[in-house]
Amino acid sequence: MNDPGVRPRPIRLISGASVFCETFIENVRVPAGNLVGQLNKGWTIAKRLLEHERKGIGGIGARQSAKFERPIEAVAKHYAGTVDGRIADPVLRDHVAAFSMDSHAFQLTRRRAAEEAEAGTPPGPLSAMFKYQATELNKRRYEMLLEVEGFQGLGWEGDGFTEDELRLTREWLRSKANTIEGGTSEVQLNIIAKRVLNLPD
Amino acid sequence: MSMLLSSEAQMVRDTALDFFRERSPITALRKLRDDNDPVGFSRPLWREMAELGWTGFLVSEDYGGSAFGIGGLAQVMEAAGRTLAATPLLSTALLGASLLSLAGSEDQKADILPALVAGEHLVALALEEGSRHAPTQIGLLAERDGSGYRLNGRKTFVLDGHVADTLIVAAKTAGGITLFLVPADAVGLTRTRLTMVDSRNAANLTLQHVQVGADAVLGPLDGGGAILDSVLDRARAGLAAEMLGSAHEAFERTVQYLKDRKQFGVAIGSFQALKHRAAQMFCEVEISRSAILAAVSALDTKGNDAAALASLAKAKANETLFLCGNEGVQMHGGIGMTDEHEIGFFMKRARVAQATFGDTIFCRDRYAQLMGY
Repeated sequence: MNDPGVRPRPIRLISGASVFCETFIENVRVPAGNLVGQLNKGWTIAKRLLEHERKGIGGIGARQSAKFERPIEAVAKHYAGTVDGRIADPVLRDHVAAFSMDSHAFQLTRRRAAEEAEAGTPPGPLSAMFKYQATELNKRRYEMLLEVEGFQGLGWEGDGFTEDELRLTREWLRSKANTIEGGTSEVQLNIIAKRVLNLPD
Repeated sequence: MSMLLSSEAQMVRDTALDFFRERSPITALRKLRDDNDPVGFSRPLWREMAELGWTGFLVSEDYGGSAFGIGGLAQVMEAAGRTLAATPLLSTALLGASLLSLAGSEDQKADILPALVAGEHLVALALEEGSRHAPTQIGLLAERDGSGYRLNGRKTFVLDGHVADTLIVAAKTAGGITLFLVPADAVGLTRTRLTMVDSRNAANLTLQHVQVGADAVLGPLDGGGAILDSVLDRARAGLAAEMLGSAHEAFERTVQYLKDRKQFGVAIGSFQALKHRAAQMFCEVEISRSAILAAVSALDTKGNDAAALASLAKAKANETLFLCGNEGVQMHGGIGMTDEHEIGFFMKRARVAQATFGDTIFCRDRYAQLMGY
């Protein structure tokens, strides 16, 4: 990276993070021993790496039940207050329930697919929907958290916001990439239409 | 809790799918409607269903049933939903059998259950009093009268209410809700059949000074609320299964139409605008199926989360049948607006089924409450 011919230009994302660079490589000489794999076989390696990307993203939906994340109902109670143990705002409560129920039903679908796989059934059409459903739900989850937290969920930096609140803003923006990276939602729907429903091209 | 079908349940499923396709296709519902059939379903068909054992799935062996469970009954109901078969499965095989099995005295069970299982006795739950599902808002009054009770009030949207042999009436008593067994020929009971958009059975009841004995009380006095709670969860899961069958059928018919129908020289199913919507329907059908399988499994194994899962199943079924019914009509285009085509029947059934035992708003509220928020 410190070769004078290598010029990385960080790309600032909507979340403020810069995990990607535009990298210019001009007249950089490298010893033959630095060749990774074989000459002209780089795409094979790259494709394999991309598979890991897609698989990683498809696992997003399972993360929602991770222990370190507070369930959205608890967050809603905290910000909106409670009446007789219920989220005080009945409309917000209905929205939270709608999201949680969709999320619950999707987790059950994952479990059904896992049980079918364990029982030796060949992987069926269910797996075709996982990336699409998991990423759309994750985006909804962040939109739901913003709705619940109101102004407190919209801070960018500095005083007046907790660390969790500031992290939410950034994570909400980051989540928008979920349905783009590793095959967009539109591509996933095309795949279901073609492979599962056998709709014509 | 397992979400896979046992081999027995798979057999029931296969038998039921064949049975309804062969014996009760949508043309049967159309005929009942067009003939203004006074019963609203086929009694010979119901007896055949009884012979297959489906009426006894929620009844113990002591009374002629098999106690196979709600999971098995859900398979039958899903198959019935495929062809929109009009049968008393929900009113009698599910609700009637459950209420009597869970709350009935020995005498009450011996009186009704064997005939119910044989397909010779229909039961209807008289619960609703307003135009939305509200199982705790009971105004029909039961007052003590000598050794028995006197019932006064109205009930609405009673499934199979005009043909039932026994009505199970939810009434307000001094300390809560009490269930009463009221014979169809009780003096002071008036039944008025309703004509619903889905061409299925429902009736309004008026009870004017209906006298019943103390032995008509089903379950504990003032304790009807808890019985209704658990039985209605079964009804929600069972009806959700029926709705899943209807949604799946509407979805499959629509996908087939997308392949067959040509416009501008190509199948309309090649248009991405329709492909994406068809793919979304597929997702919703499969996700609903998971919720329903989880709910019936939890109900059969008395899982702690059974009630929440039943509301989840009904809510998902509501949304999915709404989607597949509406998209079915839209994607069929002009032909979907005709009575001659069958796709419209699914949308009509959808709305009545959605409103029955909890629309989506009701189910979300109940789910949230059970989940502690």
